[in-house]
Amino acid sequence: MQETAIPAGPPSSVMTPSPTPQPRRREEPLMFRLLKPIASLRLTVWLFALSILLVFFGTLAQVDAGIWTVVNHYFRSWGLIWVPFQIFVPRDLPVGGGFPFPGGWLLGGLLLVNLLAAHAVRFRISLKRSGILLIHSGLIVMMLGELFTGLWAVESRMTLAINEKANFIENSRANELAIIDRSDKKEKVIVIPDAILRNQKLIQSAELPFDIAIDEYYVNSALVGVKPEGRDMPDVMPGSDLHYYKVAHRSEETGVDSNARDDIPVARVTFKRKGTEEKIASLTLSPWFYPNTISRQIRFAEQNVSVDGKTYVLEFRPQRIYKPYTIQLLEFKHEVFEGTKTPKNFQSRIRLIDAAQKQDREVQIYMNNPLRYDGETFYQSSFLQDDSGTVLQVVRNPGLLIPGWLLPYISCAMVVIGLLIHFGVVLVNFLQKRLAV
Amino acid sequence: MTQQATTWRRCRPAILGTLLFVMMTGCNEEPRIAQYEVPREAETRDFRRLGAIILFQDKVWFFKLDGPQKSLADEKDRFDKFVQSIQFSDKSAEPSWKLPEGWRQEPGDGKFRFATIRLGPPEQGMELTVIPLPRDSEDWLLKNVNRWRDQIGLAPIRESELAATTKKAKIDGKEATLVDLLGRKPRSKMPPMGQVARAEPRARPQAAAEGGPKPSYELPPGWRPLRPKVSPFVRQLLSFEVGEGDKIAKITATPAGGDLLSNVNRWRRDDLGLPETTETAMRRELTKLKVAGVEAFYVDLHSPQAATRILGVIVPLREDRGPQQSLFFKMIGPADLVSEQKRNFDGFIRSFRFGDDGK
Repeated sequence: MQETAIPAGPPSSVMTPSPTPQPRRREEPLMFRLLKPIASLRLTVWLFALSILLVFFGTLAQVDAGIWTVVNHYFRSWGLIWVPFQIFVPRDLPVGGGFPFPGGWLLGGLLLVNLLAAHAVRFRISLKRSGILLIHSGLIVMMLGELFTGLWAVESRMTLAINEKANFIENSRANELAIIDRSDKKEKVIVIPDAILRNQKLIQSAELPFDIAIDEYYVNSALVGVKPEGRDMPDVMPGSDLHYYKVAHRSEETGVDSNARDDIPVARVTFKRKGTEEKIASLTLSPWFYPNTISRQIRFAEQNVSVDGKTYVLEFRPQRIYKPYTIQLLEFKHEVFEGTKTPKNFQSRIRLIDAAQKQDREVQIYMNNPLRYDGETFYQSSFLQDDSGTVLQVVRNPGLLIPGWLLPYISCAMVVIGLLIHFGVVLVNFLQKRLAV
Repeated sequence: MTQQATTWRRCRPAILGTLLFVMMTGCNEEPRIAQYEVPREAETRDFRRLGAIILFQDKVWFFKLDGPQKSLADEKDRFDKFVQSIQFSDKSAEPSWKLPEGWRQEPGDGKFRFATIRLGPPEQGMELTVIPLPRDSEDWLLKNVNRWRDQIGLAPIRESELAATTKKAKIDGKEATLVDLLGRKPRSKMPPMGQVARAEPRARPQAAAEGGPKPSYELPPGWRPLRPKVSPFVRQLLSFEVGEGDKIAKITATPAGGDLLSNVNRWRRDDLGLPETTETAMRRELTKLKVAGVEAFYVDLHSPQAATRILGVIVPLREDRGPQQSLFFKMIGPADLVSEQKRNFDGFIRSFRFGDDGK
């Protein structure tokens, strides 16, 4: 085997076309190389384009679906969502199928990662760049704010008649079936979240005194009147207004309906002896029969089921969130402009009692003067028939370090200041150059 | 080494962001069944209502004794004896009774109330009223028991629960329903003057979900606006009352369907206990007038003993003013009060405008 000799001396011109040696390229760290594609501006543009499309699809979907269904399905979704073709064509032209599309939180999350990566890879901290940095930070705060709101914000209500006390608020967007045993000094309550009623056919649990078969479940329903002749029908309930009612299912309230209200579900339920097929009772349950749903305008007969000598009261009601404090309504004022029916002021004088925090004080709640307590904000929202009580809207919007409700304000302020700085710097630079010329 | 540290510093926000993102994906909580105990609110049920409901001929007689539970407990036996003593005269179609010792009977108002009986010291407010009402519907018993229950803050019951919550007895050979209820003292349902506004409920019964232009009118002196009644069958547009104490007349404006005759007959039959009339006879009694530029009809009806009087105005509605055929104005009350208020009612009708186009 002949060895090839490498000639010594200066390299020949044939082998090296360039006589000057090229400077050695600095090797980028692995993380940097990984982040570079993620930080791509092209990706940003794509993500923005997809977000615009998603907003468009979500808007079209509200022709058939309620606003909260759309918000949860299209926007507050981590994975791929299914967009039906039907939303693009008139509804009397049935079209099947659809296509997958990234959900709102997925797109928002990717945009966030893209932005952070861009900062790690491209941007340098300098006075010139401080405006951009502030604008981007503002956008990040805005995206996180929406995320926190979606994950943790709860909107509830507290309904109180004059002198009534309550230590719970009622979630406006979630219901529960409460099975209440009032045979003792304490109420023993078992609650089944609405989501279980909606998704399960048979509910069996060690906590339950019976098995519950969900025969039918509808997301939305209407309370309809029944003529007196129909009062003996099994699902008909007498109301305190001396009329008879039943609950009939109806399609979901849509986002385009200007009169849309919250969806109120209805479930036809059969109670069975534990582990058997033996039927105990069959009932139609709906939050319509819960007095606060209709601002206590009509009250309905109690629904209950008896098993093994014990009677359990059934309440399909807004999800209750118990609080370590109690609120009592002392007075409700409903003032009108003299000689008219135009409301001037709605005001609730309440007593806040929190033994653990040694609080026992009176608070006035009226427009632009909510009560903020223990992370919750109580706003004057509505009132009961004949001014016999008040309805307070209770909003909880927690953030990580700062309250969630502040985040949109902070983010907007950051973006505005960022824009001012950025364009200010550009203007100063421009003027300096002009002067130099 | 230095370069690695720089890279880490550069990439830290991105890594933290990604981590946060991944963490959030695991935040969805599975719904689960929960169990808890809450102390029971001590219910203040200190108001008692003892009652007897007796159907005699075409009228339902209501004997109702109200008062604080403590005071009424001592009167229960006497009330039972009082009820047992009730007798109906076929001739006068009225009841009579034996008054227990210490009970003081006052004459009725000659209108709705047949008699008022007071017992115990006045500050205890124990009062027994005797009121006859026409048997207005098939479900009269359930309806009236539920009406009594609602007045003292109790939830309505179903027909199937009537047997368990009331007692049946024979009074003077007639079937009577005895009621013993414990609840809260009734609150005056009338809102303060000038404070009428609708509570905006979270959701309204279907039939009530309507909007529309607001009518205008001149409110006659002494008329108190009430909250219009809204149910799947009735949606009052306006509601007022006038008078004091037991002498109250109600004024309502209600859009409703049905032809003129059937509605006039409904008033005759249900409100006044009069026999139904015929189209020709009705037309003879009608007077024509104009309400908000629309040709309307005026009726004036009296009950047999002329105790109750109805003034009614029926205004046919244009199609665009709603699905109902007519707007019914009605003033009902003790005849003398309605006569007193007739001028006011007529003025109110003249001043009424639909509010949609100024007419």
